[in-house]
Formats: sequence, C-alpha cells, structure tokens
Amino acid sequence: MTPAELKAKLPAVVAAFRVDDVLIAFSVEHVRETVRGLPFTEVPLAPQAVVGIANLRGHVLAITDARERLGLAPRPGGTPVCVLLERDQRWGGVHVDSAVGVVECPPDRWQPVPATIDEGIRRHAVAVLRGDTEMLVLVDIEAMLSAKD
Amino acid sequence: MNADPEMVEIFLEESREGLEQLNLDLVQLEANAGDQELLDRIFRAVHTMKGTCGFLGFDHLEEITHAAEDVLGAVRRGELRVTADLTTSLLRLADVVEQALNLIAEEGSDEHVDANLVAPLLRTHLSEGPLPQQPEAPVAERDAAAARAEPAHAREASVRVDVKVLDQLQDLVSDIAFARAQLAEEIVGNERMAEPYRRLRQASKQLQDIVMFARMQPIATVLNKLPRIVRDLAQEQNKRVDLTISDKDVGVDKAINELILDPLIHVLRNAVDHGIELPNDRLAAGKTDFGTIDISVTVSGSRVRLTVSDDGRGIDPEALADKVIAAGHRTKAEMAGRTPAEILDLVFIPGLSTASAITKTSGRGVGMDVVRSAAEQVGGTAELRSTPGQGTTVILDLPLTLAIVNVIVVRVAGISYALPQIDVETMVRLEPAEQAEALLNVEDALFLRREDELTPLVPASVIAPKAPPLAGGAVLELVLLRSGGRRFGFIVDQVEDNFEAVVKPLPNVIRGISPYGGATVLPDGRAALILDIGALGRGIDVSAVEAANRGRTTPVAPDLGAPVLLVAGLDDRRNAVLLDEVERLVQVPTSAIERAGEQLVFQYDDRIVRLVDHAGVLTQSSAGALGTPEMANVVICRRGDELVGLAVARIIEIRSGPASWSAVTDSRVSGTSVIDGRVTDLVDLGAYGAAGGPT
Repeated sequence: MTPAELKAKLPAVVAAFRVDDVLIAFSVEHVRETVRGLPFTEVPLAPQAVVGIANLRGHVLAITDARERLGLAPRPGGTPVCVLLERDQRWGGVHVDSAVGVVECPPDRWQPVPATIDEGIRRHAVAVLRGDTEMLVLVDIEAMLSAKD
Repeated sequence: MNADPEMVEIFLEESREGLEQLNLDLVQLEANAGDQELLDRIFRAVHTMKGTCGFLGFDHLEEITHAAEDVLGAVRRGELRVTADLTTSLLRLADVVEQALNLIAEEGSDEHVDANLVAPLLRTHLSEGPLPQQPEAPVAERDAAAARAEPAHAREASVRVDVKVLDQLQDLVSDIAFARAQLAEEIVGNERMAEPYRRLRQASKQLQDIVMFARMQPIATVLNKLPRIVRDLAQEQNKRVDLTISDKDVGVDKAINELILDPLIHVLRNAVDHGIELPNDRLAAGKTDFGTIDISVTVSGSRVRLTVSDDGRGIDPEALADKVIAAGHRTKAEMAGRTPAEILDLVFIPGLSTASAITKTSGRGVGMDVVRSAAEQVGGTAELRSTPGQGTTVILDLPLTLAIVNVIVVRVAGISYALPQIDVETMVRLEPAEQAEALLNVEDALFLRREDELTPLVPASVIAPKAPPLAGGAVLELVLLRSGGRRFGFIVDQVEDNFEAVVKPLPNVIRGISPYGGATVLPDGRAALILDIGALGRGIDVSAVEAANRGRTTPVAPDLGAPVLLVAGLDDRRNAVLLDEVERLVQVPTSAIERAGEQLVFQYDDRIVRLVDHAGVLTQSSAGALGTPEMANVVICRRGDELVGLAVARIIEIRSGPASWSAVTDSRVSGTSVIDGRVTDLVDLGAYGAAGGPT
C-alpha cells in the first residue's frame, strides 16, 4: 500500500485497549463488544496463540491473546478483557488487559510505524498516533485473530 | 435477444432436474425398449425443453433438442429401434445439454453452445431407415394421452428455498435451544414462569424438528444418478451390468446426500471394473452373462445403511494378503494368523488398490480408503465382505442427520469434550483393586482385558499433552468406543453428562487439528470440542493391537516378566528360552549335525555351534537317529560371545513371561512356571557346558 492508500483506509474512530505497557487500537468498525471474564475452554492441541474457544450467543469462536501476538510477557494475573471482533463475517476474540475507551482520530493524524518500537509489536502494527504522553498503536485485526506469525 | 434473467433462472433449475430424470429414463428405456410410458415421458421432457429454448431465444440448444425430438419421434412411431448405440447418442445429448445449461448459467446466452457436438450424431440414426410397421395406437392418440398424463402443477403447495436459508434457520434454532437451556436454570423455583417456559420448550423442540425435516432430501436425488454412471462404466469395459436399486424413498440430511455420491461412485467403479467379469468369463463360471449390482437402502433408528452388492469374482483374501505384503503395508509376520474377514478389511488401507490392471476409471493408488474416510467424516462406517467367485458387498452405515448429535460429555485432563454417543459402546469404571487384573501393558501400550478380549486404550495425553501420567491407586474411568471397525477405550477423568448437541463449525484457527471434529455449546453455556472418534482411534498402534489380540484365545498370564520364546519339545512338552538370548531361528539339515562324543555340533555362519537337545527331539525321536526328520528346527541363542543351538520340535509363540519362575531341582532348567495352563520349563543353556550335555 502506498502511504496515500494507507491513509484512506485508516479509521477515524478506534477503540483503545491496554496490553502490558502498550496502548493498542482496533477500528471500531470491527469491534462488536468487550466482555470481561468471558468463560472459555482450553484447546490443548491448538497453536500457542490460541487461548481457547468460547461461546458467544450460540457461536463458537476462538480467542487469541494480544500479549502473545505482540510478543509481550504473559499476563501476570487478573481477569483479561475479551475484545470480540468481526471482519467479513468471521468472528474472533482477543484477550487484552483492559479497555481504555473510544478515541477519535482524523485519518491524517495517523503516522507510519516508527522503526524504534519492538519488533513483536511492529510486525502487526498498521500505524501509530502520537499523544502527549503515550503512543497509540493501530494493529492489524487479521494478524491478531490468526495463529500464525 | 436477452431473456428475462428470472425466467432463465427457472428454466435452468427445471432443466437440470429434468436432465437428471432424463438420464435415468434413458438407461431404463434401453432395458425396456417397449415401455411406451417411459418413452412418452422422455419425449415430453425433450419437447418441453425445446419449446422453452425457442421461447427464451436459446437457438443453439433448441437445434440440439429439436434433433433429439426428431429421433425420439421416430422411436415412438416405431421407425427406429432403441439400441445401445442410440442410447449412447441420447445420453451424449444429455451431456451436451448439461454443458449448455452451464454455459447459459455463466454467460446468460447459448451463443457458445455448439449444436454440431451432438445434433448430426442424432440425425445419423434417422438415416438408419424405418423398421417394419407394427399395428399400434396412432401417435396422435398417444400424444393426447401423454398430455393428459402431464402432472398438474403441484408447485403452488411448495416454494423453493435457498439452502443457505436452511443453514441459517438451523443456526437460529440452536441459538434458541441454547438460550432456553440458560433460561431454564434462571427460572428454577419461579412458579409464574413454569407454564410459559413449558410452552417455549415445546415450541422450540418442534421448531427444531421441523427445521431438521426441512433439511431432509430424498436419497433418490443421489441414487438416481447411478444407473447412468453404471451403464457408462459397463460400456467402457464391454461388460453387461444390471443395476437394481431398492427402496429409494428415504429422506436424509442434504449434507449426507452431498457426501455419499463420490464414495458410491467409487464403490460402483470397483464393482464394474474389478468385480463383474467379462460376459464369456461369467458364462464359463456358470453365471449369467450379465452381472448384477444391487443397491439397497435400509433405515434403522437414526441410521441409514447403503448396501452395494455385486455378483462378480469377489476378492480373494490370500491374493489380497500377498498384495498388502508386497506393497509393504504389512509384514508377513503381521499377516500371519489373520482371519479372511480381517484381511478383507485391509482394502481400506490408504493407497492400496486391488486392481491388477490400470483402467481409465479406476487407476492405481486410489483405494477404498476414500470411501471409508468419507463415511467416517459424517460419523459413519464402511465395511466390505466378499466371497471369492460369488461377489463383493460394501456396506455404508451413515447417520440420517448431521446437525444435531447425541453426545456424552467427558472430562479429560480438566477439560470437557463431547463424544458422539453413536460411537460409545459402554463405560467402564475400574477400582484400584481391579486394575492389576484388568489392565495389561504391552510395550508401553495399555490394554483393557475383558472376557479374554484385549481392547487398546488411548491415553488422555493424546488430546492433552500436558496431562499427568496415570497415577496408580486411583479409580480409572474408561469410555469404550467403536469406530470404523475398531474398538478402543479412552481414559477420561470422569463422565459428566449427555445431551443433544448442536454441531458448530470449528473456528478457523483450530480447524484441521486431529482429532477435533467440531464444536458445540454445553448445556451450561461453555463451548466444547467434539472429538472425532475415528481420528482418535487412528492414533492407535495397529500392530501392537494385533500382536496383543493374536494371543487372545488363551488367557494372558497375569504377571509380566521378561518376554520368552515358547517352544515345543518331544511329545509337545513345553519349554521356554528368554527372548533376549534368542539370536535367530534356523532349519538345519540333520545330515549337517555331527556328533562329537556326547556332544552335537553343526556349522552356522562359519562357526561350530554346540547343539543342545534339551527336549530329546533329535536323539529320542521315534527313529532314534539323526536321520529323521530331515531338517531340525534350531533356535540359535547367544550367551555372551558364544552361540548355542537349541533343537526344538516347533516354535509356539513369543509372549510375556511370568514375573518369576519357581525353582526346580533339574540343573538344566533355571525355573518352571505355568503358562497358558501348561507346565513350562525355562531352559538354562548355561548349564549345558561345553560338553553339550548337563555338567
């Protein structure tokens, strides 16, 4: 994608979540809901990225962990928040530490991913938004829901 | 001209249905050339299609159907006889029409349909000249009768529904069922809700039944395709085959219907190619010159059974066994002692083809494994029986519906899984005290011993790699399963529940992981994996099972010690040597055995080897001489660097020895025990010092 194309696809409104010391964002277009402590069932033979499967109103979907996806340390404890994402009718859940809120962002304020951030985060990052104190990382939904790197 | 797309859609759908019937009718007409009713129906079908083509402006297709109508008209007037050639041409027409319909579906016009593909071929039949006239009802009269017989449009009573809608309905029904189960827990003790809930439960159950019913399709949808296929196969092979299909009036889930066509075609190909003999061979074998394939459909409970029988040459278990060995699928030793039925089951080995010649339709390499795996995919089984010279029968046993299965819920390493109940034979609970007697460990494979039968056990670690190893002293819960002709047990923490599970697709990221077969939602709202029992059973080391079961006719010794080779001596007395010491088994010509004083020796591998005749096989045999029998069976044993031969009458088997041997006074014997109810001495080869006799 050229920078222009990329800009055109960048969302104006995102939902932000905390994962370890990183702020990540998904386009609100794909975020269906967030559930704290959604019960899930472990899948021992699944790839490491898969935390388990869960029932969401009769649909069985797989849950991955944003920490694993972004190469961060495992969650030390506490109940994760499950972000339920939908894209092209395919559903999946991603575990994050906590929900931060909805952030409005004019598409032209998104910046390319700087080379200085961790490789684990950078490979799934689409763009960044620099705030006063922190940086918001827009992440690739497909990559977060996938089990492959 | 651009036809109204909606009209074209209806035309395509109706024509495709008509085409299926046409194929069926044409094959039937060949066998019943005089059947006017059948002929009228074929004529009508072609005539209707021609008319609609003209109306919609499909000129090329109209030309094709027109030619067919001319030919069929000539047949009706008795001017043309229904021959195999004519049938082939008419079937070719059906193929071309099908291609044309596909082109129309893609391009919206029949511009690229080539009428020359079949129209001239059809017209050649017209030049075959008229047949002698026979007095018959005037054609005009029959036309009128045919018109009267045209079914009134019964269509008003039904509507077409996209299959996707049915799938969505199915999903919604399961959502409702799930919500209802949750509701049931919430309203416990609430009197005011009891009656509305009862009505909700009833309605949702009925809704579920109706949706399931709506997904049902007559199995005839698939079976009606088969006569044409069998005819084509038979023609290609210059064989004559009569196909009969009994009881097509069975409804199955559309998903099952979609799945069974390919396996059935595969079975029929095998039957026509390799089963049914050429007419002359059949006559020589005292059979009719035409072969018969019979397909029967029977329903029992929620299962449908498709039985495909042919009266061909059958499969010779011995030839099959040779082939299996030659292809390297099994060793000769593994094949020893198998029953013919056990051997026949090996036709389902992946990659095995019993074909001795490669033909267009069934080349090498694709075997019956395709049939079995397709059946197992929907929780069914495939079996084969055969009598050499008389024929082969393949039995497919399938569920009628797919969407909802009865499952039992088991907990394995702390996680709940659903097992389709159809595969569950029974559940077994073993108290610690019973385990020593009921469990058998052979080379790290665990078996359950019940009534002389050994059933392999699948450990929890197969689906839970981090599961702790079996702890002694704990109660053991087993679920005995059966799938694809295999029986095995599965070790679980506990059996939790059973219920009607709505099968959900697996999420993409875990699709394809064996043995996960699907997902479901448990009554308490948790998601759970449904295990594919067939895949679970495939993990079992087959050779270990077979080795263990080969000895099942004799009770197995309760204790397990070092494995021994059991040998028979003179008068069938039993002896044993430790398997660790056995180098190999050889036959030595008795003429090569020499006597040196009291000692017997022979040459083996350029060495002089002492021969121990512990059981007196050589010296005390009836002839009392070395000359008979001509060959001696010798077990060559290694003791340190030295080789010692033990003469035996015959080898009995290799098996686990007892945990301990009782001491005896005989210095040539290191111990004795009772194995399989027989007193058995463990021969002490060391005691036969260099002199070859007891020292």
